[in-house]
Amino acid sequence: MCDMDPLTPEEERLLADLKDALAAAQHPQRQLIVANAQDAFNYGDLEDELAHLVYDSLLEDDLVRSVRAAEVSRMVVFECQALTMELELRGREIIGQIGPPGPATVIVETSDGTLTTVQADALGCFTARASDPQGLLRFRVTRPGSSAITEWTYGPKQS
Amino acid sequence: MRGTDEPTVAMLVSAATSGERSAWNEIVERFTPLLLATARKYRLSDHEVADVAQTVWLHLVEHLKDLREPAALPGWLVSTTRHECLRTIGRNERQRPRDLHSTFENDLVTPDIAADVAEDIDRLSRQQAVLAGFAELPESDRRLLRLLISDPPLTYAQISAQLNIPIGSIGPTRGRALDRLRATEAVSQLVDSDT
Repeated sequence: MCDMDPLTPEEERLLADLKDALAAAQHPQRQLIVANAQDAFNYGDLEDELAHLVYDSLLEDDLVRSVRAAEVSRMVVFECQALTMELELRGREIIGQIGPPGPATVIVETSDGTLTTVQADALGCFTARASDPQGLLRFRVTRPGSSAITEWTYGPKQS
Repeated sequence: MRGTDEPTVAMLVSAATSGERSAWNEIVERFTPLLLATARKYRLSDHEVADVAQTVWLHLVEHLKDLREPAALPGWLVSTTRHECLRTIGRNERQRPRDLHSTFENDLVTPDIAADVAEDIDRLSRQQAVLAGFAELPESDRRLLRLLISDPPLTYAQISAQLNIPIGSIGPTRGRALDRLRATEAVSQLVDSDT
């Protein structure tokens, strides 16, 4: 840095402390953590039941993961009282099945606010396309009498 | 001293308590680093840290109204994060054979054993104080300071281009930002305890 105004030793120390602190605060999924935390604000008055991530192929042991990685796909399962949702995320393609089986409306939401609506068939199956395979995604499922929303998750390209 | 239309943490807390979503978003954005740096100490996996973070924020939504003093927020976040990390470690310990050597929990409750543990704790409290202070700063200060410590370092010309401010004003602006950081409650207490 071309320094026309050198730092005082005190300033230097503070800046070094800040650098150390921010380095300690790094996390590879920071964006996901912030997005989910910001959503937490609504839980109290939200009608939707929150479906938690209960399985993620990215978190499997290395052997299985390397096989999956070769396929460039990722399996995730979300669960709440009303339903379970199994998803295969492959490139931009999303293949899902909702249990118990039955028709439902599925809204795919990305962190930039894009919404895509698709219908699940009588078996609870649906397909959709992600506008950005690397960004964050979540799914809102509505059926007569119930609606649920998943936590945010990464698209398949993120590891 | 402070940028005029920039909300303080106290204002954010009270706005979030009365239901203002954008204030909540800002709180999360500003304080996530404090939470993550606190959790790092416990050597959990990235996934576990993400779970801890989500649990802590969910608790905060419920307890926002109980925070009598907005100034209590950083301390509340640190202690709740610590608590959730220890809970996660406790769960892990029950699931695997006990490690004879140590648990992180022991390291923490008996910090008198080794000098490096004490040093570790000192470093953590320094990080926590600086991050709590950093969260108080106006956005423009936070951006500038982040650029100044980026790795690899940026030249003044690059910083000037990114922030759209003249090169000549970077030095003085930096000085004012650091002054504000030093004047925050968390950091000023740290400076006092140094002397």
